[in-house]
Amino acid sequence: MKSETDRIGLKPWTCEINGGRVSLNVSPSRRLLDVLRDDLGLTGTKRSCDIGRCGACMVHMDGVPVNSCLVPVYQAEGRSITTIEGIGRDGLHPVQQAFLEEGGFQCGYCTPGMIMTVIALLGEYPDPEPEQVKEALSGNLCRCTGYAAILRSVRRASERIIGEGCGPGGKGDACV
Amino acid sequence: MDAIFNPVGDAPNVWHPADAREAYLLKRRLGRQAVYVAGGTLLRTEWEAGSRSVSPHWIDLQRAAGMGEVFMQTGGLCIGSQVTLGTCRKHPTLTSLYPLVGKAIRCTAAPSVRNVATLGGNVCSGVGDVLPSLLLYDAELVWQNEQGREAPLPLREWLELRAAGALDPDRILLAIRLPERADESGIRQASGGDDALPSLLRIEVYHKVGRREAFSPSLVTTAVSAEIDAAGCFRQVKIAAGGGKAMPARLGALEAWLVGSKADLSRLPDVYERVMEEYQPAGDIFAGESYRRKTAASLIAADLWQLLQQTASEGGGRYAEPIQQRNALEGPSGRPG
Amino acid sequence: MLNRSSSGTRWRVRPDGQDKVTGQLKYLTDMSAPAMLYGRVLRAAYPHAAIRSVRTERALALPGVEAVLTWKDVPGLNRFGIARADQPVFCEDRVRYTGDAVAAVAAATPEMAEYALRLIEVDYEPLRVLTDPEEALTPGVPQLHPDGNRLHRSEYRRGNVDESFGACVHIVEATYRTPRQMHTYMETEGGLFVPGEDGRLTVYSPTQHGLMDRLQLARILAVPPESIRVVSSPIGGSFGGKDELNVQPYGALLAKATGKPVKIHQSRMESVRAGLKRHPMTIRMKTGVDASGRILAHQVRVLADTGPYATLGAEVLNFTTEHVIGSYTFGTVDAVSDSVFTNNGMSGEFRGFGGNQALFALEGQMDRLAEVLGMDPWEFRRMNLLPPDGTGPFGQPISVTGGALKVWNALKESELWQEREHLPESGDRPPWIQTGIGAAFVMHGAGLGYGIPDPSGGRLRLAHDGKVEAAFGFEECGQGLLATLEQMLVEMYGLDASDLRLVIGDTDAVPDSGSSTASRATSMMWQALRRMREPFTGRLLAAAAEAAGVSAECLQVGTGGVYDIYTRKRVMTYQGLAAVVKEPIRAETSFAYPVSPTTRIGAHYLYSYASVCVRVEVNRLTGRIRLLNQFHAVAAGPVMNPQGYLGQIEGGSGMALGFTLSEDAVMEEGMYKTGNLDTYLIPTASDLACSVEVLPIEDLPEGDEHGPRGIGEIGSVGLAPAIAAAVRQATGIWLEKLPADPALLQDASFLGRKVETV
Repeated sequence: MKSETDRIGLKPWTCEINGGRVSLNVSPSRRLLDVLRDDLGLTGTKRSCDIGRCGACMVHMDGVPVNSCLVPVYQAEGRSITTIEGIGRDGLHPVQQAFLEEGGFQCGYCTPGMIMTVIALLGEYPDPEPEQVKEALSGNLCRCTGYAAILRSVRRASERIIGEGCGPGGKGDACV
Repeated sequence: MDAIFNPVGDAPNVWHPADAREAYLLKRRLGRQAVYVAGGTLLRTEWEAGSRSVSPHWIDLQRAAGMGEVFMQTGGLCIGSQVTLGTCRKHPTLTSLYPLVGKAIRCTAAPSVRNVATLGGNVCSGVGDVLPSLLLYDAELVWQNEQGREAPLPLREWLELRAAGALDPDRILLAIRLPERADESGIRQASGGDDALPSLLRIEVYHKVGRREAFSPSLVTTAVSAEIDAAGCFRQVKIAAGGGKAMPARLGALEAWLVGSKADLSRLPDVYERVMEEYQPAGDIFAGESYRRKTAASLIAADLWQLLQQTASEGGGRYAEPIQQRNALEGPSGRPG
Repeated sequence: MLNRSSSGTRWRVRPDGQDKVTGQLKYLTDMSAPAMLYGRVLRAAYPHAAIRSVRTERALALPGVEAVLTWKDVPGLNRFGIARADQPVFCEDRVRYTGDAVAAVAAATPEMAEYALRLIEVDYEPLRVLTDPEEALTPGVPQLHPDGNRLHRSEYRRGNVDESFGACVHIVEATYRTPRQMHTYMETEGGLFVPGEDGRLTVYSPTQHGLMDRLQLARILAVPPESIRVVSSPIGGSFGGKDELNVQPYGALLAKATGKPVKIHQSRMESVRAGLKRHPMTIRMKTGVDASGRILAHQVRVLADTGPYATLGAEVLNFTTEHVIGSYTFGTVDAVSDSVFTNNGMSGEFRGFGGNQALFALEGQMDRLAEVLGMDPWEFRRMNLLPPDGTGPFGQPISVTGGALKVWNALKESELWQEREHLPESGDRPPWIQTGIGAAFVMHGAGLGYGIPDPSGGRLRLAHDGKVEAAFGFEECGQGLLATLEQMLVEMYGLDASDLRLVIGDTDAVPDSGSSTASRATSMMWQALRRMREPFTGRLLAAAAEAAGVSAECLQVGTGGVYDIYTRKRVMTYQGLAAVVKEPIRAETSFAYPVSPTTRIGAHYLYSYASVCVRVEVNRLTGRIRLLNQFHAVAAGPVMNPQGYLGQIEGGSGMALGFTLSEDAVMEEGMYKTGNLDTYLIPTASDLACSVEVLPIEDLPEGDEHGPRGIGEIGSVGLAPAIAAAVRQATGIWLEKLPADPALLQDASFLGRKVETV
């Protein structure tokens, strides 16, 4: 029952999502969030505030975190998008493992976005200073945990990543 | 009323002009039906809130040529308007030569938003939290109009013209230019060494006060740089303030009053009072004008207090570490003398 | 201290964890169905107005629009409300707040549904807007409901306070104001509503009590409750905010009307506008002591803004009245509380349930009284604590745990509290940074209280596939209910997690356990499992004994099956047992939450206790407060799930920080000024990057039958008064209104200016 007017403005759109090439006909002004969730069924990316203030819809675009609710799809044209579904497909990522072990989640609704942010942080700074952790996490709201368990998860993930990369020697004070 | 995201069920048309001139001509042709879109983060917030209706035509500036680079040129650093805040935040030249711009960007939104939002967008909003830091460094704006690229316009003047409604709303911000620094830090950076020149006491500080510790709309923003010369007088005093919906502005009268005057604690109550008079905040339901005035006055006076503490503890002479690295809300942790 | 390493093997990975960290978990708002429609609700354009007419023709004529419903299309009761059904599904002739629903649309796309809303023509006649509960009680103002503008009055009196005040040496009077706090669950309201070919309707939508939603929806649709299936978990956060119906009536009606699946997922803007908030309260207290520090008289007046409709406003108010008396023994008490209808946003149930407001005021009084007496504030509290003999706030008998004194002692001995006396003058901080340490004492009731039906229960059975199926009518809001249930089955029954199937959140599959609210679910699951243990394992072992031809006395339950207690060898797997049993192996129990032998409506019987100590830093340039350290001691019986327990206290406390410093859903003339998360500010990681210590006190008196007490709410209560006390120590200023106004805490006297009085 879709009306013809609805078809107006569809354009071919191509981008790489979780390592695979995706081509769709979409309105270029649509939000990346909606295309991911509604057209591609990638519902691990969550909708919450619609204006980039909560981080529940966080994905990576060319390796850096962006709020997919803020990105019209034309901005993602030809770029590489990673969603939570693209993480840990061959076994959990150390960040996911750390959240699981520390209990860095409760309702879990902010968790995919939070994990995308932490993966980007630790990719850039495997052993982040407390200020770097605070800055990186400032765009991800969590209402359940009070962040304490999340900050412990970040520290644990960092220790694990450092441990895997260059032997023991994590500072272990990322969340103080 | 409810937010109207998509008024007629038709998707907006997105245009990708090749350059700024083409974008400008498109805008002239489409008129009020069109809107320039850079990162689009502020627009999205306004659309959702219903404070702006969605335009049927979007003119994408990000793919237009010539606005996406940061480069040194004669006389300063040029930042394309479409450079994201995230890129600016990590740009080594920008953040070392103009540290308060880096600090202000660090206090703006969150990293993920900064990866989309542009410096040009922050400037063109007229109230962006980066503006006081740009004002401090006497930034200039380069615009595109029908004829082409205009001569650089000081940011200060643009803000005033904007407030007066005396601007061509269709012209496009091409770049933000930061002039070469003539002060101590600039000379040091240019000469490439900390020990090459005799040191002066100086500070360079940006503060943002919001309603929580991070990712908050600003209530008050301040940027201060000042030096004390060998004679114990203030020099190179630059002070800017903004926050919320206030038009960011240099506190020129206060700067003039301070420059060349004896750097002395007894002046600070006057500094406080002069900020109270000169700073023009915009109150809202979250914080009144009085609070904003007092906050700006306190922060600016405290910055100078910190500078004077260096005099007390160092006796003048040795180059004191700038304190802008520290968290604005933590308060600088320098030991009082 | 409670943490991962101190918990050893009791610190377990949550059963829902894998799906949460991988994004695989399907929330109910993630669901979709082929050919589904998108539902939208038209909310009132005015906070108070008469509706002259509603015309839906233009919207209905829009291609792609399949239904436009108004009150005329409600087959059953056009009202809902857990305690009192006074909220219209669709308004008939009047709207009372901007979240009121006037119509609903189902269309083929979200854009069409959005556009259709704009085509619905409603003629309003704006009416005087009541924004202030005090004003709403004055004569001559519009009456929002047939019984007037007072939803509820709750009173408690003991002795003659006027006489007692006469005997007081010191009297402290203060007025405390608390904000309209938003739950801010990250998942906004929504779900999928699927009509079945058999005439049944399946509702996939988060709620804290699926069976209550089913009952309410059955009344609205005028169908038997059994014809509706409510699937209500998992939930992306609730905190009380999804206890009441929200979008379910609209989804259900639209699905029924169109015969197609309908999806609704509210935007954050709409969630703010329509959803519940914590009751803003003004609490006036007048409290007097004798020279020795005994409290002789306590007078309290509470005024709560309940918004346009009841939901649980009356019950919240009863809780507040109980907790403004709280854990102290007063010579005489005179407490009168009113909850008043206004045209502001809906107030209702929210974690802490009226205790947060009460304790901010009550603990504020304790600190003020101690100060006028020149006494240590903690010693002053102890001197006036209720006797440990089982007397409650209303004088009602309560279950004795000894928790009050234990949390009192734990705080007194805490390092943080001991530093209070030795705060450095300024140290290496600039003069405008001032620090302080403060503490608060909390006693928090759990369960719904006397006089309100509070049934619970659960069911166990050995399923055909050999899984031990545990079914409860509770919901997983994120609190870790599934993890706690699993851990209790493992630790109390000796089963392995892999032996279990946990069934919750589906009215077709669960018994009535009551609502996942009032800090009651863990207590009730523990109680149910304790009651079912003998019958269930007895039947299991008897059947295994029969099948294996051995004596049941030689058998015990274990991982993966039944074991011989002597040889420790597995006699039979559960799968094997399930294949051969003749009669189903099951156990079911139903009982009621324990109540006090009293006649006082709402009085509680089981209480948890907590003490909270904080260190804060106040920047006098900006007036902003920063939380530096937190210490929580909690006495609530044994810890069932260490990770969950810690998470509840840390998370509750984080929420309380927002209540104290930044959160207030500001309204002007009945309209929200904080429409989204850019203006309504909950804490970020930067606000909460402080140290947190949680000390659980687990022991209970010999013979205690009630086991673990609730901890779901108590963490959200004590932080605000503790911060207020710390700010007083740091600055000499009392906070009376939350969130704290930084303007009150500014001081530029370091410049040599005169301190301004504000």
